[in-house]
Amino acid sequence: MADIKMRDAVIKIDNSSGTPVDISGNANTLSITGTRQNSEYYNFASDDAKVIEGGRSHTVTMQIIVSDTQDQGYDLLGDWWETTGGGERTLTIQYPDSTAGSYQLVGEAVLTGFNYGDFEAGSAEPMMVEATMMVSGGFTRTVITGT
Amino acid sequence: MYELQRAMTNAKGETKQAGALVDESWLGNLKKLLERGWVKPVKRKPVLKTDKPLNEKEADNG
Repeated sequence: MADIKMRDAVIKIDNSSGTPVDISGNANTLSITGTRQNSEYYNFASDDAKVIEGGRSHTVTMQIIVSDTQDQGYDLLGDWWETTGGGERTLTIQYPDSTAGSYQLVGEAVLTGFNYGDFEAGSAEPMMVEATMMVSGGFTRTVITGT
Repeated sequence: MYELQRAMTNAKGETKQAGALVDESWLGNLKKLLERGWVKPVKRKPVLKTDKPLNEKEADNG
């Protein structure tokens, strides 16, 4: 299997109607952090620590390029942020791309942070915002069979 | 018939776990999946044919 290239990934988030919207055209970076709770303990019989494994959690950080098009990345995330109660929305990440044989991660995400924008008078860079999410119930990783 | 080497999701959003046996119509794009080793062809077991229905055999024995 070929090594995976980052840039062809496809990212989808549900809109308010629960329909997945491809926001790959607006998303600039996406980073997933997975952690597991662990506790380390010792007993008198051994020099070496023992470890008990606990539960996992996943957080997602995404940079979005701001556009003023309805239901694109920025508009969709802004609506989600402003919705009372926020709620879970399905986050789908397909990589290296969305064709047969690619991986697919699917999780129910809750939006935990969203900044509306950073502004700088002299800048020529595109306006970017950051959204952070927590994943409820973990990710499910499968392989896409294609059409 | 093909055996999934890991959990897979088809175009309809149906997910099956690793080890599941599926036919080509469920998989869609088979070529890439075979190339990448995500599915493995499974030969169907030959169906054993008997000359006579079981009840007739029993009658013969009796």
